[in-house]
Amino acid sequence: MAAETSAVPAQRHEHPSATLASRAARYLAALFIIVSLNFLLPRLMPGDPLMNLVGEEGYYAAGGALDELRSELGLDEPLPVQYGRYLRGLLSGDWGYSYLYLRPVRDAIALHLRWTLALVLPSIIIAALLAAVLGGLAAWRRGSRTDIGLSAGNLLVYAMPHYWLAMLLLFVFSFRLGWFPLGRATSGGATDLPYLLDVGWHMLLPLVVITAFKATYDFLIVRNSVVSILGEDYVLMAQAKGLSAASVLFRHVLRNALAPLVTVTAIQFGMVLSGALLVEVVFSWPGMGTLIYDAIGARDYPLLQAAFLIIAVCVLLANFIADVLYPLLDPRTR
Amino acid sequence: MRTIRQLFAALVTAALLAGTAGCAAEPEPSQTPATPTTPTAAPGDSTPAAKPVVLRVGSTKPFKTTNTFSDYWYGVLSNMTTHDTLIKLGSDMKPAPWLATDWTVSEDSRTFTFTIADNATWHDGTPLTAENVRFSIEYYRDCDPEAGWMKDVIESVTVDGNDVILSLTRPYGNLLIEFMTYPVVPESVWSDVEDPLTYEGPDMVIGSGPFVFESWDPAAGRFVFTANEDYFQGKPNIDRLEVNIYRTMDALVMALSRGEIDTWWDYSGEFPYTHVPPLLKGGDIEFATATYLGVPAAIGFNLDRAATSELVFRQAVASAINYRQISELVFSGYGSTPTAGFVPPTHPDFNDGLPQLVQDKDKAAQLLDSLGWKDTNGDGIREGADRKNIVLTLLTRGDVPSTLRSTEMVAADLKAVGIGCSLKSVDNATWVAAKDAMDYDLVFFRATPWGTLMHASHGSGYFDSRRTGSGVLHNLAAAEYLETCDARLATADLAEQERLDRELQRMHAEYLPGIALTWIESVYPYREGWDGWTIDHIYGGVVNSFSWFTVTRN
Amino acid sequence: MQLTEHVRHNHVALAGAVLFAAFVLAAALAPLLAPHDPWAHFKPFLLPSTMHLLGTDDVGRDILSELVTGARVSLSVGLFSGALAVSFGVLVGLLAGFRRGRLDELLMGLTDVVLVIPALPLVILVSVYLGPGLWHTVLILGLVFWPSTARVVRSQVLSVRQSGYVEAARALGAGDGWLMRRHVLPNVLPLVLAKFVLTVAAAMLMEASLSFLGLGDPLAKSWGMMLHYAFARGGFINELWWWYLPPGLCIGLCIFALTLVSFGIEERSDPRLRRALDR
Repeated sequence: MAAETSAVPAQRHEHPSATLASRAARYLAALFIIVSLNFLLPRLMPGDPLMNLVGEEGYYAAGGALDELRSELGLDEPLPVQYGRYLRGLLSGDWGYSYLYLRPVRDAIALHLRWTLALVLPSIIIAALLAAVLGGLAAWRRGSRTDIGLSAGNLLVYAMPHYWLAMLLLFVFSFRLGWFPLGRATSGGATDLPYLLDVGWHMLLPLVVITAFKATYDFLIVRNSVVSILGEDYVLMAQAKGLSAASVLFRHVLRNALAPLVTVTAIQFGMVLSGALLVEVVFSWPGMGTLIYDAIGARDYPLLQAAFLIIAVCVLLANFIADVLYPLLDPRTR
Repeated sequence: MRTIRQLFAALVTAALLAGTAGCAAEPEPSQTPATPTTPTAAPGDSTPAAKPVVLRVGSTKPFKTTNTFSDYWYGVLSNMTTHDTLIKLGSDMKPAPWLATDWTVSEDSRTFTFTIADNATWHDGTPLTAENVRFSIEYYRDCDPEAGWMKDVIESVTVDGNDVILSLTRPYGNLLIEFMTYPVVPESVWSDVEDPLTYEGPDMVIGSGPFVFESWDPAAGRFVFTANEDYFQGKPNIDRLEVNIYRTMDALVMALSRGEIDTWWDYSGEFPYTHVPPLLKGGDIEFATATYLGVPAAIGFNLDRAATSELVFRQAVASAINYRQISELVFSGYGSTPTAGFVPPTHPDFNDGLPQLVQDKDKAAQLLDSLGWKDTNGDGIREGADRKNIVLTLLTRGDVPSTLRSTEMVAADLKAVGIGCSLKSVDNATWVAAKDAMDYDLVFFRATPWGTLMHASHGSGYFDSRRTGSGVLHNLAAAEYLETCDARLATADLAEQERLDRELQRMHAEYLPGIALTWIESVYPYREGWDGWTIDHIYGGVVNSFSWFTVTRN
Repeated sequence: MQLTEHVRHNHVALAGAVLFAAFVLAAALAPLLAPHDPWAHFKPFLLPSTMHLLGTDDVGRDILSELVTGARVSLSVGLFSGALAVSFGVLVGLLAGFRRGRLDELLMGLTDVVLVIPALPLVILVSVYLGPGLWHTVLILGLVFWPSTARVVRSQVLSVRQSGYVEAARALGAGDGWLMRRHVLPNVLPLVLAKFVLTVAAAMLMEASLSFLGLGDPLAKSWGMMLHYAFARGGFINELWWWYLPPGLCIGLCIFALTLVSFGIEERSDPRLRRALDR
């Protein structure tokens, strides 16, 4: 998922006067639209809305009882009534039944979501740290061989489709060299510490791919952010005051450059989550990516809708958290 | 002040992180039965502690639960492991006794009597009686939507000593075949369960079969079964059976070549030939082969459309196709050119008098010319009776790579004799809908082993226009054909069955409702050191109920 | 014009532009460049040789010919999606910037919302419903990628409107049309171009991802579809690196090239970066 960012740090804060409340209102509006989209899609898309609502297997499992199923789901009721039903169902936790997993959609999602978060959250942190160090270094020595080397290398990794990289890693390190397992999250049978270690061993390769994926973005953000800050007058002043290079870098520049990094991380949460989906499929990691992939194959529409909703909500939350954190970190608002 | 805030932010993030990692780190609950575990070795057992024989099987099938009613794949697996059916299909393609040691069919094919083995027991030790069998049949009839046909066909089920007697409403020659797929289930577990499809009790894994369910770990994707020491046919040769689920064939093959599993299993599918070379490289994998019972690639005609309704046109199509190329390229040379009878020689009563299909472009051109459908304007496409270019709509599954490959080749072959093609490549659900709406000229499909045995057998289940089902073509409505199907269904007399089987195949060649594109030699990989596999054409190659008692490990 | 000056003086952007142009040229000349008919069948799984520089695939098609022909599909999807997304974005941005008031609020709210919705899951969902088809893909991608262009255009419109001489011109009676032609468009163009370039890259990658998941058009041989077949028909397990590496590399190189171009343009046009660079 390349570039929906620009080289210039995020433009989201062009309304510094926008209050947290108005931002929250924006997110609620976004939530409302996403929920409505979720409602409308199965009813507007081609195909029988009944099949769109229960999935292919559910449709065939019903056999001759399609009409009963239709009225049970309220499909012959007027649209506003259906919408009300839908909202009530959503809030009460009834998200439909998945014929693929033979359990309520909510349970299937809960099972898979935590595995995705376990993979994505550490990689975001590690990527940010890695990028902060490397990006800062590259910016500090801009134009030098270090900078060109780091930037070019970064760009190359950034450009390659990450699921393709994932497949290569799986093949080289797991199959040929045998250093890592061939997929899944665990080999089974362990508890407590051995279990955690086992999961960690299975997690390493996918974590590396997703971290690399995120780090290459962050590198660009950090580098450009630091470069632009280096042009600021107060840095020049600090240098004129006789502060050491390291001191200038860490105490002034990096701390100020980190704020856009945090917010960009939050904005990109959706992108990272989406990217993780493909990597999960390659490594058979039992997260949302595998769930979506299986649901696509089985045309389990209720599962796909719920997955989309959950991911969208996670992204909204991440953005909101970023909005809360940004004022704490932005040097200009202190 | 600043640093404190930043520190706080960092701590919050770290806490969130630890929390989620902690949540994910709970091991997923795996299922173990609440019932008593396998009984230990009998006191008289004098063999010294021999290494237990462990068979590790790999599969890519999407297992989800351990409910044999609701989970299609577990239903198939349990049929071979934890549960027993009354009869099974032997490798000689004839019914073999299993829980039913003997059976008789009345003259009018309306009464079937099964004699139940008197020494069979359930996993909890209680004996399996003819009464239990009666309960099972009635339970399927009343509570399982898939067994709806029983309501029409079975009038009553009675018990007489060790015999279970089925009285049918009408002659139904296929009853024996049907009962190969319904395992007997314990009354003690299911008699209170009104909806078997949603039941989740741990005792749903109890059966009478050669293996006892031990555990299912969804996170690791592994089933474990242990041998039933008290099995009525004797203890199986395998002490412990593991079934490992892989998400992709690549992962399975990697595991097989690295020694993590011993063999592969799939019900009704064939092992992809593209994955054979990496297994050959290691030198420690052997292959068993058997002619696949089904037809992995076939085309069906829409007999109501202008061009395809003409028999001569269909014959021309049959002569235009390069069968050898499909066998060579799509099936890596393991395919052979079929006859027009549709089903391969593995079927009993194979009609060997039918000619083999052959690509003969001149003959195809001749046949098309005889219809008067020539290319008058020189654009390479012939014009049909309506003076317009003949362009056939080819309906195919886009999500199955090998099917799409075959389709592209057939389209090219047809273009070479002047028949235009327009490919409609869709996903499964759309394919089924379009097929049932007869929204095509040619449709590409596959006939599974079980599918070719359905209805009046020999593939008639696919063509009989009265049939329904998501894979079925239901395109041939000729009265002669339908009558033959009915006659076949109505008789249990073996000689009469043979005559009618041959008739059906002859009619396939005569009417050409569909053309088989290839027949294949299925390959079944297994680790060297294992020997004595029995081939089961329905349940997929070497991993089946018969093998449990014939296979040995060096 | 200022734009070509930007590009000419910026070696980074130039390098990227040349690389991408090479791909576009190859795609345009595909029938001439492909050594064989990409649909013709030779022996399957042939190793690279002088006759088949990249060997043949599972049904004997020449991989190099498929690669060159595939460029057409992958690049077309990227370029059309990018064009659609950017056109829509420019329209929205101009409307919001010029009309202000309630329309502006509404459009910016919509922009924020679409920006926040995660692209891949939404595209997957709609693709599953719509079924395979290149134009479906182009349409969906176009509808997903317009927001960031809209924002950039809008902020540029706002900053131009607020500058002193424009206010003076307005006082003298200059209308919106003139304003747009003489001041907004020339300033906005580099940024929009940068956005277009990035959107093409994003669209190409998204199409490859969809094909990988099996949602692509199987009859259109894009690079993503080639990867899909390589994966599904034993390309990885048989270690046929000449089958699965080239399509991935091509996608990567195109994105690399496009990113270089966009960085080059942005670096030159953002005043803060320029100051730092010139120091």
